[in-house]
Amino acid sequence: MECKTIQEMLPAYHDRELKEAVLREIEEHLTVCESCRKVNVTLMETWHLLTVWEDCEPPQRIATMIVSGIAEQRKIRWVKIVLPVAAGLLIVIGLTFRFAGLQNEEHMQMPLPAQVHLSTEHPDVNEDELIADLHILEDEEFFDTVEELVKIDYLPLVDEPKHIGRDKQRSSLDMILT
Amino acid sequence: MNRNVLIALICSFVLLQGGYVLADDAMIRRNKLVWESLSPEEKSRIIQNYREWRSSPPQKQERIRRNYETFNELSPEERQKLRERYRNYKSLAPAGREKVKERLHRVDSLPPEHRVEIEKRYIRNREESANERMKHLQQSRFWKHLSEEEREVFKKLLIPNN
Repeated sequence: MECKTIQEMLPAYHDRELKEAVLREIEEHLTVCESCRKVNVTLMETWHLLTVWEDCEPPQRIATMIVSGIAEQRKIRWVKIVLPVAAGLLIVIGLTFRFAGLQNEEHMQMPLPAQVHLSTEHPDVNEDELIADLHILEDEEFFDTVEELVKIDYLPLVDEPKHIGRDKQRSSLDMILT
Repeated sequence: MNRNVLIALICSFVLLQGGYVLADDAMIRRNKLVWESLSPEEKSRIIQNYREWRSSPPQKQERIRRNYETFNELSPEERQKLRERYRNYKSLAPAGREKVKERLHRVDSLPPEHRVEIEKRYIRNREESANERMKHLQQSRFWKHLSEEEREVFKKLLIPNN
């Protein structure tokens, strides 16, 4: 076996996890190879150090910070997943609504199909179209005149000069001069 | 662009679109209920309106739809006032209505900036009481140029309760 392989197998060698033949081969190699022996000694020293290392409890503040940091990271990870999914869902729902709305509009603009006639008495009436505009048709004549009715209020003001009469915004200087 | 801002914009757009569709649906549902509650005579009247509506030019349809929206943007008091004015207008003799239309042409022919200025002055003055409005109306040049007959017409339209 090459030195690199031997060195990789040293932890398993110490834990006696290898087959007997391999263990013997590594033992023989260590007796003849200086560099592998050095690596083996370093490894044994490190393990020794680990066995004498005393466990110590971290301060409560640091433990709390670590736990809350982990919780925060988990939360951010969830937000990162949930937000795009929610946005995607909203887009799909929105497009569905919009598509349904467009279909509805197209449907209203379609020429009169025979199967949606209000009744046999009125073959020229598209019931869907009539219902869609019913709020206007109920009082079409009134809505036709709304613009005119609003304008009637402007008539008394048309010939009035800007500063005269009831303009409450005029300045006190205007009041004195007039 | 900040990702959250982008997501907020997308959500707003989607909700807005959904809102339009839901509003349309609500109107259709309301209209269906109204239609079902109408008497046969009322249905006949509306069918007649529908036929006239279908045969009217698209510009007229568009204007009426715009008027409908304008009306719905008004306060309940203003809507009531317009309804009452409409009843009074309808009760006028054809000659009276013609006179009103003639006068209204004056408003249409105003330059846009003058029209805007008049609209602003109207908004400032509309909180006045009926008595104050009547007083100001009688002081206006418009009133002074009206015949007695026309004054009766415009008094009825402008200050119906006075």
